[in-house]
Amino acid sequence: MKIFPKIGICLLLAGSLNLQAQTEGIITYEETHKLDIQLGEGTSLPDDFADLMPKQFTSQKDLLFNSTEAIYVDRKDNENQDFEMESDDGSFKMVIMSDESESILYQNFAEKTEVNQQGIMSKNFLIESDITKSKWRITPEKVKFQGYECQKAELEIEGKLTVAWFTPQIPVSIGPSGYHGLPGAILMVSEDDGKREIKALEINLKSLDKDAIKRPTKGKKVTQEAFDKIVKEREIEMSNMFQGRTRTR
Amino acid sequence: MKIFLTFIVSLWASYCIGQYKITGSVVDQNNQALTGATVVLIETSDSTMVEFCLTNNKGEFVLNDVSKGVYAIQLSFISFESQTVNLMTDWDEKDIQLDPFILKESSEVLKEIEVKAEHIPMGLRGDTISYNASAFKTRPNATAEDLLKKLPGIEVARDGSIKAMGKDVEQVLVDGKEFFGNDPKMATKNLPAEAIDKVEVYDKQNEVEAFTGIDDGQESQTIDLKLKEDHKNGGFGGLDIARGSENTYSAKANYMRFSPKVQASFLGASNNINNETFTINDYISFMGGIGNVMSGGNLNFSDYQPLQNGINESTSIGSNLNWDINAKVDINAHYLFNEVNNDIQSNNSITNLGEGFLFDQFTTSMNMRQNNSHKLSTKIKYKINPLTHVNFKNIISFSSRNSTNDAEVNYVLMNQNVGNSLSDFISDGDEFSFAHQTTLKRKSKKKGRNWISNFRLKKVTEDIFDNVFNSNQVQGQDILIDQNQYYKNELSQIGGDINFTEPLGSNFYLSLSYAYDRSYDRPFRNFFDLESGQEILNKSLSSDYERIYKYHVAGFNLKRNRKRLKINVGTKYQWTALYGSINDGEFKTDQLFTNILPYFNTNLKTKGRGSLDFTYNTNIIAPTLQQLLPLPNNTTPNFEFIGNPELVPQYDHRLSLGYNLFDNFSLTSLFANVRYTNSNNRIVYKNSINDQLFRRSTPVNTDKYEDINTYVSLSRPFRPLKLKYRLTINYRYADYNSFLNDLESPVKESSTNLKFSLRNKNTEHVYIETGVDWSRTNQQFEIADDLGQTFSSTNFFVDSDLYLPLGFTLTSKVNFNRFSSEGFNDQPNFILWNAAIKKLLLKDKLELRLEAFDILNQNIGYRRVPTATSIREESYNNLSQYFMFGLNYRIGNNKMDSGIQLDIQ
Repeated sequence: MKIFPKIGICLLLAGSLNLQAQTEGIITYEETHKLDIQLGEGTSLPDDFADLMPKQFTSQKDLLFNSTEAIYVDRKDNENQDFEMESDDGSFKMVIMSDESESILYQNFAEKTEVNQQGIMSKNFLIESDITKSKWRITPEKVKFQGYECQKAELEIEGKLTVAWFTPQIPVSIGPSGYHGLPGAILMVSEDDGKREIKALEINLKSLDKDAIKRPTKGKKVTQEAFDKIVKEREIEMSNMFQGRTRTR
Repeated sequence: MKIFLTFIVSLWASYCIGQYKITGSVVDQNNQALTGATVVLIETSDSTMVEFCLTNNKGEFVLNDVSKGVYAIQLSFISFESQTVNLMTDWDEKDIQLDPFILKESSEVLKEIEVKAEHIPMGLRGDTISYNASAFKTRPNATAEDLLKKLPGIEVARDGSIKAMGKDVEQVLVDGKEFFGNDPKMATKNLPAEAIDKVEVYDKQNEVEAFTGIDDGQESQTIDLKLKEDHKNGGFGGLDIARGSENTYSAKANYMRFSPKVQASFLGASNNINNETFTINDYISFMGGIGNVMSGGNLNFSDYQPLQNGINESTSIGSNLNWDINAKVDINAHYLFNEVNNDIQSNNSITNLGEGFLFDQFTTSMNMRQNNSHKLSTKIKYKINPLTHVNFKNIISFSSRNSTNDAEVNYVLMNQNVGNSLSDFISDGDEFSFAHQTTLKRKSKKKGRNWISNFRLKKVTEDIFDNVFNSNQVQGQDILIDQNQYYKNELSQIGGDINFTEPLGSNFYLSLSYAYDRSYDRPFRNFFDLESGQEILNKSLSSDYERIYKYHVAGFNLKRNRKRLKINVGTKYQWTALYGSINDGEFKTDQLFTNILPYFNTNLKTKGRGSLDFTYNTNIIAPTLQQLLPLPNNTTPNFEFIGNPELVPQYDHRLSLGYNLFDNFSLTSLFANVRYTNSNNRIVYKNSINDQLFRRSTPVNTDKYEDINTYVSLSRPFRPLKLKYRLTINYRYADYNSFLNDLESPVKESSTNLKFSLRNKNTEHVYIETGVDWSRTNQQFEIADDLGQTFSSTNFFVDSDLYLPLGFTLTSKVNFNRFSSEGFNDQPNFILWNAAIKKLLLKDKLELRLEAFDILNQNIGYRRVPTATSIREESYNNLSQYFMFGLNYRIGNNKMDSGIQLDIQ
């Protein structure tokens, strides 16, 4: 069963209601990745280090959407969050560098396809796939967030639980980082018990320029599996470079 | 549109043959349609959503393309209670019509979620450390100083001075701009912590380096307080007022209004509880300037506690403006008004170390002083083009001072009272000064080549009137002085310098410099003896003096700057001319000195963030006008200071070796240095006492002076107890020749100072800091073994803050002081205990407090000061045991956290 055409109908049926304006706009989100730094055996750590080590990595993204498409991109003014620390005998050095390559996720709900442009270091890859239906579990819990009444929904992927809060007051089935398919725009997401959290910072419902949402075309076309393999190879390379007894997830 | 809609709908309808359609409607309790309600079809087996729809303006909905199954329908609408209803149908009809769903309005107040962004606490970018202020919690009305205290690597001493990574912080900027001149405390004590977004710390680069891009090897730091966005547009500030027993009061207000191009700040403070409202530079200018001429002493900066004794009322009002007029020009101006009223009553005893006998002097004195000063400083920076910058700086200041001093002195020799003296001293004076500096900098297109030149002008006029009444009755002799003393001086100073730097190859630079300075003094002294109210000129004490002090300095410098090693070698050649004439040539002095001043410095960066520094340098200290003037200055009873026209400049050789380490991994900072000084012709004071117990002091050059000074400071966390400790050891040894009643005598002095302090690290609920400061000084005169002095002082303190629930805070400061020395029987010690209770109100914008000072009533203002030839004990009328009730209120941008806060359950 296909959800998206049905959304289209429901919205069209509500003809006299001017919902058009509420189905276009930009939502700015902040993504926070918790850093779970595991250190190799044998490194002695003063307690202060735990205090100072960054516990998370944040970035800001924009979700531009209209009634049939959505695109999730990096914001231009992301803070440089490189971080560096070294012990006095040089035995321990930690460097966290933000990978400055761009990532764009484009979704076309009419065609039910999505294109994910991802970069590793300076090389871009295009991963195309079909939009699959998500099996959301909706609960009656409600909260108020950013002035909207939000309801809770849960999704289970590969044993990991994702919690999302959506608002029917914005009647578009869109959300950050590719999440979709709920009876309203998703304003908050929490993955795997907070490993990654996404929260809407600013909600701007307004008409967009005709070409504001463009399908990405830069990069080498690969499948998701092929891409995952390349990422793993890179990780091993990096850890060898730094004689990694340290791994960050 | 409607036709199109119908077409689409019918297309779909035909496509869905074989599937079910569920229709229904949603209404409220009054049967009114709910438009835009969410209808969700849920698969009961796993509670997943199958499809959803929104109701139209008639409250109707259609769920199409439904397959047979076991479902529930969930309905929700804003401000209404959601409903989940099991779908009951026998699947007979393709068109399932449901009864209207009635939703009830919700009385539940929904939990509101705020989003808080947590930031990385500190980051390192090259040599700049950047701290994220929101990661370090401070109390709501905390100042920037309170925030700095929490940052790892930054130490704020009890007097407010700041060290970052072990190096002194000499400047604190606000958003990159100067704030009321160069005193770091103006910003740290007045800016609210909540206005700060980031704190950046970097190696100070004086204007020369910043322009030329060549590191001068200077070892000090600059802190830049970057403001939050919502404080960069609009105003913020605070008000703090308190009133208490013994007529005490304190008031402080500040308001800052910032915008992208303009920063305007206003500060005002007034109190009579001995809190300084001014900076050390202002203090020097309105106390030291005139003071030096007046009383013949040296101002001791290491003992800078100007308002410690007596009852002092001080007021300051000031304003600071930074304005970026355009891309080429920016202006900084600040104005400060300071006024200090002192009321000091003291009891002193001086034990003079004469040859073989002890001579005591007991003084009771009352001193009332009122000083005030106005200062306006403006600085214009003009970037003529990217290669040429010019700065204009002007400082105008005006100060006036008047004081009265009444004293009674008793002289005791061998336990017998041998005399007394009474004195009444009135002084009234003012000073006006104007200083100007123009700096021109020019870079060449060739990297590393540049010119910098400065031009300076200064003009100072002083006008002082004193009345001295001094009646001495010593050893049967009666001496009476009753004089009106008029003093006038005009100082003009003009000077300039030019520096040229040329790159000679990879990281190798040659600098050439030349400087010239000329200052001209013209003091007039007219002393009139008063006889039956008539002024009669006292020719022997009156004079007019003319002094010209000129120097030319030419030098060259070779610098090699590598990443880890910097070497700097240079020499200056100084030609100094000192000309003085009394009464139009009645007495003349004309001296010419030439000196070579070599300099060598090397700085090596060691592993981690450490550095090793070695310096050899030389320095000339020329005698001051007042030290040369051979005319007695008798404003203090029974004491005369007379200058020495034969003085030559003091020439110092200095060697210093220092090691500096800050490990941001273990938060250890270590700072150690050794400094050796050898002075030729050091200027010391020769004190003598005649039979009438009249003391005379005159400066002379001594042929021997050397001292060695070692300093070690270590600060580290002590993990097992979650504490942080700091240990400082200072040892000084000096070997020099001094005078004891006209006889030259070698002196050996040694002093040791040990400071240890401990504080807890997790200051969420309680903050405790405790420490001890112990010093021991010893002086030995070779010609008089029995005159050696050893004395020690111990200061022990415990400071604590207890953060209680409901916004209450309890603070307490306890100070225990003890002095002891050989030869003094009673060992005075006293405990000073201050405590306060504070409460936050009105969303933390207002804080009320009740404070108690010197609860144990022991603030006797006692000091013991040893000098080369005497020991002085002093006690003062201090404010003791009083209480105050006060409030602190913040105004302006007060959004609690400008970020967003989230807790997901």
